[in-house]
Amino acid sequence: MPKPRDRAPAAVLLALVAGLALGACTGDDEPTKSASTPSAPAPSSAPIDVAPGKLTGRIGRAARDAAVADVAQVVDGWFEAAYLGEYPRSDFSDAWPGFTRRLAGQARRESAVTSNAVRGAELTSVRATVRKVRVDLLSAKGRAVGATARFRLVLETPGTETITGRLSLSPVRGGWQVFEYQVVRR
Amino acid sequence: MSRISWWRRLAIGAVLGVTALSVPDGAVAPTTSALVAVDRAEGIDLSPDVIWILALGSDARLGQNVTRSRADAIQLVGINTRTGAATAIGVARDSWVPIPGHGSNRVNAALFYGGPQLMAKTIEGLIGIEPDYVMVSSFWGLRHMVDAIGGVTVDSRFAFSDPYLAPQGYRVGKNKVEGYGALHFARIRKSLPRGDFDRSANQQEVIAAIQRKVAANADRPGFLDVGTLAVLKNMDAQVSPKVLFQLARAVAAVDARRITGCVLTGSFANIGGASVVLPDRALAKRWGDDARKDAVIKRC
Repeated sequence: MPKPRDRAPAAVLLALVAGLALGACTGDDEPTKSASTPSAPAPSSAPIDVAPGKLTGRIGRAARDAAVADVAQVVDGWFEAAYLGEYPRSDFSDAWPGFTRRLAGQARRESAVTSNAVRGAELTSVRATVRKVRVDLLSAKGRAVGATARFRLVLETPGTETITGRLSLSPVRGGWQVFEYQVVRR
Repeated sequence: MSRISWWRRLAIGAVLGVTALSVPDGAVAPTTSALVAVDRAEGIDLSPDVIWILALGSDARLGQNVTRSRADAIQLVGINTRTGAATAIGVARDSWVPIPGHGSNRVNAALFYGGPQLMAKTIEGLIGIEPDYVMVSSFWGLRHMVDAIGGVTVDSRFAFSDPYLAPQGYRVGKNKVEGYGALHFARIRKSLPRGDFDRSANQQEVIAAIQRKVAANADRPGFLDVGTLAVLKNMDAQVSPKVLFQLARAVAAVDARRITGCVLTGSFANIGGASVVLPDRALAKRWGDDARKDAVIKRC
């Protein structure tokens, strides 16, 4: 089960989802998560752009916002751990937070695509110029039962690389967990 | 869908877990100004590695309980989430087999006597593979599901028709069909050379056609979710929506080039005035032993 590394990013993401995609919310639609002081994204990287994607089934707006924010937090946690951070860098052992243990093992074997592990020691800096996540949700009986995060991450390494694809996530106690990935790196 | 030994598999899954592996596919994609190397990575983690689903087509009419009628379509489908292979073993509905607690009877009676659980036990006794899930669909359930994904294309081995169900018929090769067309493709048997055996093969083709459609559209936002919701609405879905969501990804991840299918044949007999099939039980066991761990049958 994924352990949220920091609740502050969740608050940032929740605010982004609520503000950017759904407009101002009041009353019952206010985020219910604790709003601790959010940490700003890395100064050199673009802020994450999160919005709901395709919604299938019925779900309340507050529950939808929370699910989208929580899923985006997992995705952004992977962005940070796998591609961003401080360079030069050789330790990528924790590059797949939020993935199931077995899936993280698979991703590790494909680390040239699913992280910067292969070139990390050679790089001096990496910044994201685009961090975009769209979250498709499947809901049943008013609850989100599955999520597909479609993402686009553009890196300056200092050359330009684009990471796209999708992560499939299931709800688990305390958050969401990635059980499938499809990642393209070009 | 019914989950068999849910708590046991959950416990095993929690301890072991699984990871689906796929080889990165290197390719070159043209852009407006350069050739760019493209690297791909794919993985899926579902438990167990090989998922077995007993797919049943119930003959229940509107208002009847689909899980307590007779199963006219019986397909044991295996999906190897690690390799992308999949296979189906078709069983003719008139196959005369032991039904635990009910002596011997036509295999399709097991659903009537004891629902999905007894049907699973009966098929396990015949083939030697315990299904992880049982999926029961009515006629209209299959129709609605195929319609929900925008129809499918079935590849027919025969030109055939039915004066009542499909007077326009099907031609050899590809046939684009909506829900009704898919349903009748899977139901018609009298005009097929080997009757129920060929119908069972056609049912496998419908399953394969659905998989092809799902896989081809898996990247469309929400497509898999719409299909999952259709399953929830149109099938007996005792399994959780969360598991269905995961199974849809497993279906989409199947490699169409690695799908195999066999139909269990046998000899015809008359028992108590009923025309039945005495299935080749040794062959059924061999296929089960062959496919149990990798969802591949090397030879039908």
